[in-house]
Amino acid sequence: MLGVATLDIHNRMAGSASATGRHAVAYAVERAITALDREPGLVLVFPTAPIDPDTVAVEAQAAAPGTRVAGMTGTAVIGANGLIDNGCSAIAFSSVLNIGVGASEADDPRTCGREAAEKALAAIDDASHGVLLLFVDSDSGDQAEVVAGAYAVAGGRIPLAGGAAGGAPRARFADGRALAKGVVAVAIGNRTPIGVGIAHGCVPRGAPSIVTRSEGQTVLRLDGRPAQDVYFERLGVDGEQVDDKTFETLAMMHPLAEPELSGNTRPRYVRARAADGGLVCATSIETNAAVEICDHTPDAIGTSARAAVEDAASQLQGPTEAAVVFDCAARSAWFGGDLALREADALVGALGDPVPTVAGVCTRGEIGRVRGAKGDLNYGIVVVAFSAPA
Amino acid sequence: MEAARRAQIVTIVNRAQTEAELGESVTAELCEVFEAEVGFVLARTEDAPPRVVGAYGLRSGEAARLLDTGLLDVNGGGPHCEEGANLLAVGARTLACAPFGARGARGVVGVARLYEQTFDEAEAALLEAVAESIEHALEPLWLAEERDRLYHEAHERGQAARVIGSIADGVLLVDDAGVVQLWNPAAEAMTGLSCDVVVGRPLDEAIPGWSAIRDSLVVASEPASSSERPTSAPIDVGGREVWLSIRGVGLAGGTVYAFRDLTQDRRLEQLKTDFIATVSHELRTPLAAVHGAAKTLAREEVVVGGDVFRELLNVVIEQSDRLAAMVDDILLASRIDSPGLPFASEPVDVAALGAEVISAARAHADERFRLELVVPPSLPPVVADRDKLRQVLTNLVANAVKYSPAGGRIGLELKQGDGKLDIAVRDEGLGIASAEQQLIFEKFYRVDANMARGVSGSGLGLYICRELVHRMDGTIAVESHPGEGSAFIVTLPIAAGSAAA
Repeated sequence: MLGVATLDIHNRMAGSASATGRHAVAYAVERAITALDREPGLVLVFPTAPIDPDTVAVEAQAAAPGTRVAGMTGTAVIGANGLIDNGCSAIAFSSVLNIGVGASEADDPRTCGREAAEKALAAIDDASHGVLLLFVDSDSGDQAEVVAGAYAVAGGRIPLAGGAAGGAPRARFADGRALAKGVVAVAIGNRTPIGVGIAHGCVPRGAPSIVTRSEGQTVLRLDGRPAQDVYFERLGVDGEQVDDKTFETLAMMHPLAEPELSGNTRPRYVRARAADGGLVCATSIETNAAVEICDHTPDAIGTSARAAVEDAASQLQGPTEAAVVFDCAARSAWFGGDLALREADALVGALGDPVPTVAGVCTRGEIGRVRGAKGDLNYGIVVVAFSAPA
Repeated sequence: MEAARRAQIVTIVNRAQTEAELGESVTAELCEVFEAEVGFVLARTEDAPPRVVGAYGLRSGEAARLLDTGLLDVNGGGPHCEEGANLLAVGARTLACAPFGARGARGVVGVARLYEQTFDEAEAALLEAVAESIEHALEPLWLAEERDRLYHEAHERGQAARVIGSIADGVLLVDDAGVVQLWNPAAEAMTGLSCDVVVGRPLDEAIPGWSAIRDSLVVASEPASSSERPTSAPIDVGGREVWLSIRGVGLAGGTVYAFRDLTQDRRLEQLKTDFIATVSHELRTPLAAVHGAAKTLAREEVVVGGDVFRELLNVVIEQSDRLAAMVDDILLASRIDSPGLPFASEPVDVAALGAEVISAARAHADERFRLELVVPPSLPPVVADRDKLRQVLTNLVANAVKYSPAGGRIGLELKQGDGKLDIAVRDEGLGIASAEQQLIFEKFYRVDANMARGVSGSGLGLYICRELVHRMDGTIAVESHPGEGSAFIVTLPIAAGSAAA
């Protein structure tokens, strides 16, 4: 066992724990409930691979009998002590909160998002404040469609957070069952505001380009020219010398981004090169959209982690008592060294001292929506913060 | 950048194939571009109520309430922005709307934020541009949808017309003014009144007999009403009585009547009734004779001997033969339609067969009759079932005797035609009225149903003759004039390979 996080708060609403080893999942869940020290209503569990998803689902549920259990795998997880490459992080929420859990394995991503959200949100109709967490599968279609399906049900008042499961094998969990595909939605309702902070570390370089032709997730032409030519030209790279491995590294360091009216940008991960000179992105980008080519720097990663925490905390009416974190696995990993550890430390440190109850997971695509209607993110960090009930 | 955003939305707007598709895609994109939580498009057209073309970011039920906000009632003008605490009744804090109008229709496109972030002039201008795009996109979509709707309606009407035109029931539609609006082919066939004559005219004028039955007709309030039984009534159509079973249903703007022709059914029913009466009579007569003869023979106090004894026995024999023949006719009539009745197909020498029939008839006929067989030389055989053909000719000759109360010549005349042989049984008897000549071959039909002319019979003889001849691939016809006698002509095919005369 690694650690247990509790706060000496009279109206404690959450307890968290993280663990490593063979029975990390069961330990983490049990200790999180122990840390809560009251009747749990929900346990979120984030194990790292490799694991047997079905066994994890059963173990997690067995460790929290009579409690709703949900979660997903990650490439790494985050606890009160920082980053854990191999283990499990869990957070237990008090039954005083309104809790709803829904799952869907529909083939169509939008239907999947809508169905899971409908089931989960049905339980928090009466709550003054709420958040909808979405645990999705990045291999089952456009993540933006899952968000659109959930948004159609949740509407603009309920913020969205979450991400796509990481690791291998990847899985989502709901009430003792592992889902190889589909969506698990968790709705949490509270009497006090719930903060959702969203940030990324991508910085645009130069003027935006216009997508003059696109098909689905592939940007074919930028400014009337083959998208790859423009991309390489902006990066100062001779495209003919770029092999697949080099391109993968380049793409991770230099995502595309869609500028927003507010001045923010929405990074879009470039997944591959298309044979016809196009760039295959993680989500669809419409023809005539403006896109920027970004730089992703180590400094910006730590800064953005703190910014996400501060953004979430600023929406609360009291100190942060608990937090759930969804952090893009690619943000630090491609830089190597201890950047990932430093990022996690920056994140946990920003949460406060003493560290509040926290559990997080490193994802393959993030979800975060507070304003606007879109919430599918790449290279993002999303922090969901809770304060104690009044 | 603004131009790019506008172009982006125009691309999405123009991609839509239907109003609903446009509503769904453009409202989501509005939220994306304006960083708004709610996007919507409302529209009102001349032929449809106000509706939500699309809405995004609203829960079920909230979208419909947008129609109560009065946004659609704003006439013209540019975009307008609002701030408030609960705009659109969904808790929106800022709202931007831009009206549009297209070909007798108008609408509004809007975006709303749940946070206090007002829409600036640039955003309002962009929304106005979006409204123009939607206006231009909706016009052809509405036209296309109207075209599709008209095609669909025309197709449905065509289908309905084909159904009404092909069903066996007569259909009559009368509007509230009493004018016939629909008269289908089945109605034409039943009544003999053509559509051209009936449609567009007052019903009482088009079908004069209708007024006589109008009051007896029951008109149901809904088509599925099973409690209303159809009315059976005779209607006079051009001097002809047609029995109809009529069911009426009241519709908005008129009444539709569906009817079936019961004339044949009623005639058959009447024939069956007559048949029972006739057969009862026909059975009782020989039974009474047999019974009487047998009782006389059984009386111990009366000694019956010699000629009287033989005469009584002959009565029993003849009358029981008569009974047996009648029962055979009834049984045969009941079996004749079934494929199980065996038929031989063999060369038959009709001249020889005719001689046998005439000879047998002579044995029973009295001296008033002159029975003749007329046979040309070298007649080829026909293909037939010998016993069945004998039965046919015996029946026809017996009928000729029966319907010639004054006696006279009865001839069985053979005549060869092209590949066929005509066998005519000709008499000089009562004859048959032309109106009855089409009916006499029907089952149970009797020319003298009330036996006013004292002619007995079951009404099955000619029916049996017709059916047997048909089964032998032949035909039977009648030529007759009342008071001048009748001729029944059976035509049968000549056996293949037989030499022509």
